[in-house]
Amino acid sequence: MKNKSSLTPLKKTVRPLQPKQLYHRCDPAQFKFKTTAELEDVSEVVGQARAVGAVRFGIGMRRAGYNLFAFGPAGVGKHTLVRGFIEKQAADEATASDWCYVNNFDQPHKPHALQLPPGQAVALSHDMEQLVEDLGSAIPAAFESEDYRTRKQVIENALKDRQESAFGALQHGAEARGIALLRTPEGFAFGPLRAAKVLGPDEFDKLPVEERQRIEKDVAELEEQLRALLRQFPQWEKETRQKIKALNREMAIYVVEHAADSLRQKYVALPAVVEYLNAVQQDVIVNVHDFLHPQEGESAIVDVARAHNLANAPAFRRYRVNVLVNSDAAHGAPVVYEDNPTYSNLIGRVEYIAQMGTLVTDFNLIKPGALHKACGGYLLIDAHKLLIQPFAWEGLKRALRASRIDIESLGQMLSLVSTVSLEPQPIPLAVKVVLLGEPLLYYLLSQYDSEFPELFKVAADFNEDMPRTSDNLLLYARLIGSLARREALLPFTRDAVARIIEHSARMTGDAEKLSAHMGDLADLLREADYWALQVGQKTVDAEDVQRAIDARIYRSDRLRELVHEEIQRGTLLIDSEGEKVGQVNGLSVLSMNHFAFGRPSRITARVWLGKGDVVDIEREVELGGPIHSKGVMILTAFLGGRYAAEYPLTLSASLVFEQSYGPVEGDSASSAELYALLSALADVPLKQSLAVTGSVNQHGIVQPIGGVNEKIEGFFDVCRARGLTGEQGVLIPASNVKHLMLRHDVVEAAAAGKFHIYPVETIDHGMELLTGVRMGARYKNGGYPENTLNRRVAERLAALSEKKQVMLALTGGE
Amino acid sequence: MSLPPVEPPLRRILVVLDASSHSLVALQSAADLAAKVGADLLGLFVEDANLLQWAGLPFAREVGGVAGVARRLDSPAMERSLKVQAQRSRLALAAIAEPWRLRWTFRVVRGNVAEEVLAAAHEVDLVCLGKMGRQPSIGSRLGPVARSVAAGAPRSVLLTKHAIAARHGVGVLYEGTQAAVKALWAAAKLTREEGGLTVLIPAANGAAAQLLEDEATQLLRSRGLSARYRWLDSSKTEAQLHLLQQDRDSLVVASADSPLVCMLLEELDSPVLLVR
Repeated sequence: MKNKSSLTPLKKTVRPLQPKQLYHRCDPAQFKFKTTAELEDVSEVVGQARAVGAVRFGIGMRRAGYNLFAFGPAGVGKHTLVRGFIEKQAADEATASDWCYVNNFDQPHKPHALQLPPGQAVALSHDMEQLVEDLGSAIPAAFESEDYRTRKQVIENALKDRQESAFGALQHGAEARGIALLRTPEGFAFGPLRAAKVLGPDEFDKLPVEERQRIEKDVAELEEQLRALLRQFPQWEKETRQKIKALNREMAIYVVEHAADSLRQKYVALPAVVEYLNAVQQDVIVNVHDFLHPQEGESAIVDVARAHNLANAPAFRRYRVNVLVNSDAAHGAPVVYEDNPTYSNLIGRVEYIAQMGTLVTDFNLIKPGALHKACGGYLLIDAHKLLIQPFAWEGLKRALRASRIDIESLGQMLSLVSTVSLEPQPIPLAVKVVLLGEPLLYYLLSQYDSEFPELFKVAADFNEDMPRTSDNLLLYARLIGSLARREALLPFTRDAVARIIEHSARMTGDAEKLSAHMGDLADLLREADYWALQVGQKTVDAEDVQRAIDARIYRSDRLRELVHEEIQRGTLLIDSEGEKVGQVNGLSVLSMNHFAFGRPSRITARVWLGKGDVVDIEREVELGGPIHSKGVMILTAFLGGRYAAEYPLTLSASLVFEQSYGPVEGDSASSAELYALLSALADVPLKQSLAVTGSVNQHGIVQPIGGVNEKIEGFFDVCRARGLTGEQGVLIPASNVKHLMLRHDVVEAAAAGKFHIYPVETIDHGMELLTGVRMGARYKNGGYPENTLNRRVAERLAALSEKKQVMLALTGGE
Repeated sequence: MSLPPVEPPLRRILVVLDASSHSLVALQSAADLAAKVGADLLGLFVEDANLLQWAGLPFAREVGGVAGVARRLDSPAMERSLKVQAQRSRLALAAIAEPWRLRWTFRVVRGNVAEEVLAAAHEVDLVCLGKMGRQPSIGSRLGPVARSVAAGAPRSVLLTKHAIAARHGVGVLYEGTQAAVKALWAAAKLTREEGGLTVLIPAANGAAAQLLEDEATQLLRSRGLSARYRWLDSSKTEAQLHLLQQDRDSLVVASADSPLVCMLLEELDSPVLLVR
């Protein structure tokens, strides 16, 4: 203690905080109800006025690009809120149109999209099936009719007659010249005929020369005539085929027109459907033979069962209607939440079937995506899920930008596969997309995606917390009541509500705020309800809430216990008594999922003559983060500015977090580091019964930090385990006082004067508390009073500087 | 009425082959029948003497049936052509007969086709041939050989254009004559299923038709058979036959002496069995 003996002891010091400042209690007496069962449900969303306004605006705004991005921390109820608003709005809106794909008879690879009034697509599909079924029996019946057969026979007979009469004429002409028409194995021939027999070579030779010549000449002529005749046959056959074709066409038109007319009547108000029906009619007429394949042994009249199967036959797939969107069951505009927003789940896809070893497809295999289903309504997607799916984000943007859905498979888009594929006619897209996600995603997209602000013009920013005003307290109580009712939990007493509110404030790390984290709140309510039921209560009381909180902490605090055990056993070196030079108890927070705890860390400093820099060992070994490094650099600036304004700072110092083997980040230990450094410089010991937290600026002002409650409790736990001496306590930034929501045992120890929380505004206050001696205010001329810490530090630095100059003079400036 | 005659059993069936599509249909029908009654098949191919004689002429030229191109032909070439046809006919006969395990023989003769067929007909109980052969038939649905055989064969003749379907109906012409009764029994025997028999009754008026119908009904009933009846009005028989033709797969049976034989053969595409 000789170091301190020459210094002026402190007379007046910072007073520790009062117990009521350590814990901002919620007084149950302010509530008029006994249990939450008496409270009305909350109709509005609690504490999200800004987000609610944005969502209302986003839903109501009917312009392109006014899609919504609802962002906020997970569990604040984004999804529930957005969905609730949208469903309410959608119920009053017009039901969306039906959409279906039908065959394009001119270009089968480009199927047509048909828009129909709600519920009509399925009706059209059934009607088309019925049409094919009807044609399946009507067409064969028409073609089996006597009328048709007779007319066809007439045409065929006409050809035969024509051929036969031509042959007959030829044959008669030949016979008149005494020549027969013969059928040889491969064709026809002419030979001289005598008494119904063909003349043999011998008999022929016996004929007179003139006769022979005449015969030969006649045969040659007849052959020429026959050849001319045979050349005409194909043309005649072709004409006959065309006549039969025309007859078939006539029959088909008669049947199909009759069948299609009733459908045209039904859909007369929908020109696109009528146009489609016309195309179907044309196609049936051209392909009428598809309907005419009676099986072996089957009667001419096709039975009903076969006609029914007809509609499913491959040849008739082209007359089917592929219903993509069927709004029959829906009331109001569709609201779709796509849980798995892959590219094809959003945009739709074209499937394939294997046929004879190859992949084939047609318009019947077009499958809708979420955009189709949400067309004319609302589509909700989790932004994170969307962004991790390859091409899904780009696909969605393209559809929104173009206001239409182009189904194009990824394989096709990237030229990975080259099977036969379809180019379905795009469907116009009118949808309001709502993305839900974390703020980080929103800001990243805004920053890096130039299209994002154009497409998502409305941001619904959800609060993480809300002010702890008395209005909000009652609202919060009603919210608890509503949640309890919705989850079928026991009613909560007002004491329980008060305890929940206190816990909520603690969860935000701010005594003046309430958590807007609905997911956590609901979890706490359920768990408290569980404990209340365990003891057979009819209501949930404050004890049950406390038990739920304690049980939750107990479930997750194994690591904390381990750390404190090692401190207790002396493996982790932490002093909580006595005084040491250049050593101080810092506080850090370890956070896992929903649980955070404080841990004291020993911070030490050493000083020596040097170049004027403070070495942050954590940074040197790359364990210190940039913010930590910044904090340490501020210390150098503080030292230089306060003590070495007029001579070079020739101090070298090193700072270290003892027994820290992981990364250190944050500047909340910078005040502690400064205390250790000043102690080392002044060679004045610091009380180890105190722990400190707070960051510091260049002027020595102590600034607020996060996790103040956990930090205090962390040191308290260590001290309590070793026995509270009444000397122990924690120095916290004065600006953190409003955040205090300390555990009951800490508050009790403070009330009993066994543990102290000191609000500190400046480094000087902190040093005085830690050393028990005066810092000394700076004179106007720049010096410090005798026997003060500041004076001691300034003198030490000046001495170091002088030494350095002497050395420089001796070594010639090297 | 006459006593039920004893139908001669079918032991041998002659099928006239000339490698034309009609002859193959006849072969199919003959094999079908032979398998049913356990008869033997005799395939006959006649090398047309007329053609061979003609091929010896110095100017013998053939005009191709398809392309209409004329080419020189001589006797050896003609003989080779006929041999090829005979060979094809034999193969066709073997191919059809063997799966049925039918006994069959095949014979090639040279001469006038109709004469040779008629000569061979004496050895068998039934002659099968296509309505059209290879010889050109002008203005008729019946070839010259079929016409001669139908008119002159000493045995029953089956003339086909299309194969007889597996489940065919049988129509029989009944004019009340002795020969018609014979045809009726033959038809009854060939009817495979109950109700498959239609009796066609040519008559000048309804009363005459009714009389014949009652007669036929009684005859059939005596053997426990039944049939449907159809009156062929003499004034419009031709038109009615056209309607019959819609069921061209059914078999029409008639007595070879029937005055309507010519019309049946000319107008009907259905197979026609002329019973003797």
